[in-house]
Amino acid sequence: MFKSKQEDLLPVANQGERHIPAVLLVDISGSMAGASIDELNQGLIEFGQALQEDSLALGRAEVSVISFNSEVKTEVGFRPATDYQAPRLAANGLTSLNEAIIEALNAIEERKAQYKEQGVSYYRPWLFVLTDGAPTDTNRESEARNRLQQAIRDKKVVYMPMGIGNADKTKLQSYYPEETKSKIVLQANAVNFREAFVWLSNSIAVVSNSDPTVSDSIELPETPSVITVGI
Amino acid sequence: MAIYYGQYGTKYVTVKQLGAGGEGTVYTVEGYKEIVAKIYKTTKFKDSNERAVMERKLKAMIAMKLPYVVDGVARVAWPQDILYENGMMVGFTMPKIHTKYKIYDIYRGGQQRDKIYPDYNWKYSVQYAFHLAWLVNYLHSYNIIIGDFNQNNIAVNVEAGTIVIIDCDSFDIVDPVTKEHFPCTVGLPEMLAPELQTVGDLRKANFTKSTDYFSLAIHIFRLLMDNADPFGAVIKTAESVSSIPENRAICNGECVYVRDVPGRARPEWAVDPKMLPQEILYLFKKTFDYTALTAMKKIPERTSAYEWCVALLPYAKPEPNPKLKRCPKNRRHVYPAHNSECPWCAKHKQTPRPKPIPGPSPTPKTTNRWWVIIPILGIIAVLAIAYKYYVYDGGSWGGTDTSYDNTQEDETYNDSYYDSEDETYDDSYYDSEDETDEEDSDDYILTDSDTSYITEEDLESLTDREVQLARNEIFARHGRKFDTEWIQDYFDGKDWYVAEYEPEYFDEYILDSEFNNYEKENVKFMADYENTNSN
Repeated sequence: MFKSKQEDLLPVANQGERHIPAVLLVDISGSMAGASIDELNQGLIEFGQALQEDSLALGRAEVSVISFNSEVKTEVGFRPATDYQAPRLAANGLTSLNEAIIEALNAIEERKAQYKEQGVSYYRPWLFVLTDGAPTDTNRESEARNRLQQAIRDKKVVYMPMGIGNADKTKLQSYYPEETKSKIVLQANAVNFREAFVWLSNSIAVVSNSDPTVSDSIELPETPSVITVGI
Repeated sequence: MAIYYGQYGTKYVTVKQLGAGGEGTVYTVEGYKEIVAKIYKTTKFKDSNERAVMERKLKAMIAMKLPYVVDGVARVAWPQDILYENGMMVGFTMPKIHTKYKIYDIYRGGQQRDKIYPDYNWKYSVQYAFHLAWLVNYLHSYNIIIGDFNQNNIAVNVEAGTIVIIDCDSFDIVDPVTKEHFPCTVGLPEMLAPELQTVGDLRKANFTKSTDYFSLAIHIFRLLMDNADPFGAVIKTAESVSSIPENRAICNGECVYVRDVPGRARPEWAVDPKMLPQEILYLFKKTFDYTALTAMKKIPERTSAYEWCVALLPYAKPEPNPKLKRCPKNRRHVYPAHNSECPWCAKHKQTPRPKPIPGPSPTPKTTNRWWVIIPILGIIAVLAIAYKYYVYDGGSWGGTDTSYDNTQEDETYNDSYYDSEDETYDDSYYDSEDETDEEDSDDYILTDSDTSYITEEDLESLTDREVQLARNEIFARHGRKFDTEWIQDYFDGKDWYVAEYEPEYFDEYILDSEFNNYEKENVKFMADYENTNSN
């Protein structure tokens, strides 16, 4: 099906629990050099810290880190969050954001296939995109945008763009489907990551299992509803 | 630091944040060791009416005077006083629960559970299941319904072996005086009974004792069935999973453990439910055997908390317990006596052990020599002590239980074998990693080290590192894990190796009974050899 670039992925742990696969798509292009790459590396560390603070999420989340500059590279293949270690990345080269998005969606499909095979249930996967948002691989932009928009529409992924430095917010918003009302772009910091995990294990007032035609009328929190901080 | 006042003017000063959840933050309180304060987030209440309802609810709970300590152990974090700031209710105080562990730390297994209970076995899970059922029955006897009965709200007191429910303000209660009903309005979807799954808005839902029974059965199932999800299954048909509502399996009663569900199969990694005693499996059947059509009709059949207590108690009694068996091969495997074969060994065979693959190294290995020299000094010291220990022990391994009783000795013993030497090998290990990978994965360094006495001749052709591995190989054959990462990694790469026992547990309970004389002598022989050659 997909050619796996996720060669070092680890087996699924706690198979009896509902998993949340999360891809961190991180920009290590030349434009990120300096303060931005430090911010990014710090974000990767804070992501790990946020996980450590929530032991339920720690046993359920699965993390993959995919970096992109002139190339797209899987830094950390999907693995239980307990095995996550923040990689330390250096910046140079171009910004293949679009190819990276395609690769991330493929990686998610691949992991999901493993879940299905093993009878592991899962939440809608999270796609964090940490970038300053100026892709150079424009030849693949429409393909990447179409696929991501469709995945969001089909509720196959929760897109969580996080701006780094002077991020091009409009560019990041353009990957949302046009009909999405609040095209949120967050900042990659501990607070926002933590909020995401709080959402995961929180008791909620509205459940979404009724007849699909009925549930459409109920406004469900698409992303962690508590995250409202824009940049 | 913030100041609040209680119902009767008591002053409470919050000091340190202990934790934060979706709806509030918990703090320590100055001058009170046994009380903590929960302060709601400002976003918790939509309007002043919601806040007023919660205030009345808290007052009602306090007025109920629930005995929350039973047999000297706190069972629920029951509200004790209401906290006001400028006359507005902002939170409440509750007893401090001295545990950081939740019920999922017990049913999940793995490192965390081994840390809590190095001698964990299935009976522990049965005991927690019993205590959980007991607590539900206890609360129900006061007409309290838990409602949002999810794993985040269930803490475990690992010393007492009891259950503590920590989020009481969502309980469903009736004011004993005014008879006002305060319903539960939230839930975690994966824990909700089928009749609640279709409600949509839980603020309009009717939580009952029966909905608690449903969640209780899920918790007990996870405890007894090694954390399997009763509604999890491999989907055999070509359905598009994205079109399936999140908890459709609960709505439709797709529990493959109690009935045949078309197009669904029990995951390979899950333990066979026939492992359970018949009467226990029957109680799961009473709760989980329904379909979308019969779900409502079957609500009254659900196993009550009391029934669970009665059924579980015989299995929770201390050994010797005729209801339980211990696996002859693995003393940590405990299971109901009707099984002719050990279900845990069977599960082990079915699921290939995951082979950890080292992740990418985030930072280059430091080559600063200080890090090498300091451990070397440590090793010399440790070896000196270890040597003394051998003299003291008279070189005998048999029946030396008493010599292990002394923790000091025990640590020494441990360190000398596994812990301290690794750093010196750091560099050489990373250099030779490739070489290791090329080795045949089912080979032994010394194939006969468990069936014959080895000689100096056997060791002469080996490098220091190989001798060290050969010595540890004897332990690895019996499934001992290793604290030292590179040693663990090495054995993880062997097909024959099954990492089963935590090092401390192994040394305490397994080593003496499992090692034969060849093995005992060979370990000692190689340790001496290493000792001599390193000086």
